[in-house]
Amino acid sequence: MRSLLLIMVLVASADAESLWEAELRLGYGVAMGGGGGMTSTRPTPLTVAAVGAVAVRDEPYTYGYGGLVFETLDRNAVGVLAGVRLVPRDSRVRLAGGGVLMFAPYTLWGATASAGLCRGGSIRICGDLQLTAYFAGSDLAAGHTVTHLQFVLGIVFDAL
Amino acid sequence: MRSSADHAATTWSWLLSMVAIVLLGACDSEICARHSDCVSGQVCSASGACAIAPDDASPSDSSDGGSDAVVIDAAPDATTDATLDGGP
Repeated sequence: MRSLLLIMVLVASADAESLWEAELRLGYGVAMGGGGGMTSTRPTPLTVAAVGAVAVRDEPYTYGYGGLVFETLDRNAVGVLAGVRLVPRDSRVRLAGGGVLMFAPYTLWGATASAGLCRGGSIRICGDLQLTAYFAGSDLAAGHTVTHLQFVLGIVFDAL
Repeated sequence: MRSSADHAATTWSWLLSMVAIVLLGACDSEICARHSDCVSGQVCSASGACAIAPDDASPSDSSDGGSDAVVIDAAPDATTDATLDGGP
C-alpha cells in the first residue's frame, strides 16, 4: 500500500507540466544605451513582474503568458508584458519571447527574449537570463535605444 | 539528451552572467538614454546628458510632475526671494 502511494506521488510530480502557472519575477542587470554616437552602461532598475501563463500546446510545451511589470529602485514605472514560452520535453530549460509596453509615467516599447532553468515541483525556483530591447516610446531620448541584460529570479506556482 | 541541453543552458547562463558582472563593473551612470534615467525635472538630451527640461521639450506624457518643479526653481527665484525678503 505504501509503495502504491509512493508511485502515485512520483507519477503525479514527474515532469508533469501544468495548464496554468503564476510567476513572480525579480530582474536586475545592466542597461546598455546606444545612440548619438555613444554607448552607455548603467544598472537597470529593479524589475518586478507578476505573470500568468496558460498552456496552449503540448509538443513542445508552449505557454502564452501575460502580466504586469514594474520598475523600481531609481524610478517608478509600470507596464504590461506578453509573449510565449517554450519548455522542451525532458528538459528543465525554458525559452521565452515577447513584448513589453511601459505606459506610465512615460511610454516605452520593447521586445524581450529569455532563457533559463527551473528546479522544483509544483512550486519552482527559476533563473533566467533576459534580454530586452527598448526601441520606441516617449521615455527614450531622441535617437537612442536601450537594451537590458538582466538576471531574473522567478518563483513559479502551478495553478492547475 | 536532457543533460546536454541543461549543460548548454548552464554554460551559456554562466558566460552571460560573467559578461553582465563585467558590464556592471564598467557602469557609467552619468550617461543617460531614457528620460527616466535623469532626476525629476530633467530630460535626457540626444547627447546622453541630463538637462533641465524646458516646458516645450518635456516628454509627451504629462504624468511626470517634474517639469513643474523646474519652472518653480528656475525662473522666479530672485523675484520671489526679493519679494519675500523685502516684505516684513
